[in-house]
Amino acid sequence: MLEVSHVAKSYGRRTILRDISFTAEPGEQIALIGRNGCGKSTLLRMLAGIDPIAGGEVFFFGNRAGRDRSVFREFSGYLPQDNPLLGDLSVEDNISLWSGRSGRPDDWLVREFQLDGILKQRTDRLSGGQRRRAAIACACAGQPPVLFLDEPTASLDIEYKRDFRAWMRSYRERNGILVIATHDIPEMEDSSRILLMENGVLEDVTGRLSSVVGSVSGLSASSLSSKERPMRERDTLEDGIPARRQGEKQ
Amino acid sequence: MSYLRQYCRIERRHMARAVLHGLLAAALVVVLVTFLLYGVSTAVQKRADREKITAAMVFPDNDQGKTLRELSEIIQNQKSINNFCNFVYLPEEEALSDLQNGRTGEAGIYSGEQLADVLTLRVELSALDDVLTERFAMEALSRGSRFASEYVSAFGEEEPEQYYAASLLSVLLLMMGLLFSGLYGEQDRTVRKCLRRLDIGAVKTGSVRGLFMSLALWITAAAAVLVFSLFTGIIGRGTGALPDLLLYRIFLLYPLCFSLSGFFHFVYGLARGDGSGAMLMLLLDVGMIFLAGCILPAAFLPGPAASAGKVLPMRVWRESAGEILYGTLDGRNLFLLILIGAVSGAGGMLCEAWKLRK
Repeated sequence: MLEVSHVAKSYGRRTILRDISFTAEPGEQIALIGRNGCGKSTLLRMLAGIDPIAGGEVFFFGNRAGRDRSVFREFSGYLPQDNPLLGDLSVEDNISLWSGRSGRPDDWLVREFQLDGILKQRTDRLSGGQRRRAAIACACAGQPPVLFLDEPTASLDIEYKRDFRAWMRSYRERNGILVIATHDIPEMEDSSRILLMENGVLEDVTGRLSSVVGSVSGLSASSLSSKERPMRERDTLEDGIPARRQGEKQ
Repeated sequence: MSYLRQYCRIERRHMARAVLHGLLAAALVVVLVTFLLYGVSTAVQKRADREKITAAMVFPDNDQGKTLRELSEIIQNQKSINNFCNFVYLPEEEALSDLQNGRTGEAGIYSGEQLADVLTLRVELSALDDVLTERFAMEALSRGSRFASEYVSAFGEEEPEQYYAASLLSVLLLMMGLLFSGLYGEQDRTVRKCLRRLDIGAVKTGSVRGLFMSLALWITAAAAVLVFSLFTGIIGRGTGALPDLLLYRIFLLYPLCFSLSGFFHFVYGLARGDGSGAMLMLLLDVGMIFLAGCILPAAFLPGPAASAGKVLPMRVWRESAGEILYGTLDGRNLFLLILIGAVSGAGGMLCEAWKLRK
């Protein structure tokens, strides 16, 4: 399980995050929503170990993440808004950078993200959707049980968004934890919990999405509730993302 | 450790791609700069050949000095001397100052002691003028020979072709900095932010990048020395001949390359990463090339420009290149090379860390 406890962040006198706390169980998808600049990306960067945790604590399955970034690496993957890809290098080279291993990526990764035809191609010659697939493959290369995704489907077309939502569903079904910052209504609807960030604090607005975002999607609050998916617990590993028991660190 | 190893492998490949990508543009720049320097060098030498040199003559203030002055006035009136040289008689301090301010040209301050040597020869009085003329013209004012230690020249202790060969090498390496601009783009910044997750921060990325940049420069410098030696004779004893102590000279090129790579990392660290880095590098390169005396020696530059050029790192790089190619690298310059590389490289790392903090 992911535990975030009283995390805070300030830039000089400006407070970005105040007392952020939440938990996430295996198989959950948590959507972080809020206005541009409210601190969603800042929170994800801290949870991913890119920015230091100024106040509070973060635990991944009972392991405390701090100045030693090995816990972040072991238990999480991170996809920023901008693809962390070196344009003049191939998809394979970029994946080897983020996985720490040379050579061809694992077959499951190639299969999962349909990388077979583009592994040797320079990433600056790929389409936007292909680059995004390559970037998410980089985030998943270490088979992390927790993924932090910052607007994962921004700038993708409808078909790619649909495929990506299907992938996120399969990830959850394999007991992965997803924390996504999003402005996309369908992604919010797929989430088991929706947390609104405003003035540096999080508010659980699950079940009240329509009142929060208005009538953008034209859906009523009751119809949103009926779309929430029940969590499915699995005990055994399936190919792809393994389930990690609490307290286990490899 | 595996992440750092992978990062080194990726960075090496990234740099090779960036360098190859810009190689054609760099080759064109090198050709242009080569022609420019060759043209200026030729023009400076021809100008020196056509115009009369003003040579400052310094003699001791005694009877012997008076005799020497009378003799030099006789020599001055010789047609073979009078065609290309005017003597002016000055105290030593004023003569040195005139040379540094460009009022006297390539010729040097002539100490009267060498005339004393001539006077020890037994010559008939009627032939004395011819002997002094020949000795003076051939040995004291020969363009092809190095001056004795008491001489001071606008090109220092180097011959003009050596001066410009060192300039060419240092300019070539400096301009190579433009090739590395592709490593510091905005996308690269996104990657470097995420690398912090792998415990690869500004210090490690700066160190790895600096190492590979210095190696790329070193390979280029070694290749340039070999090509110049084998095909042009600019360095070495002549066309087709390699210079003495070749491996030693190539080894010593590394501190020069280390110094330059630190400077490049600092300049790109200052820039925003949106292409402004390449523009900043180009402006700095052009400014330093002129102010540090790579085109025209400092003695021929306006006073403020010459003064500014003295404190620029390009001055150290050009002088060091000359010492490496034709002499021995001075301990002071070696220290300065390492200092410039270390301090500017550290400055670049600080700039990178500052830019990535948000």
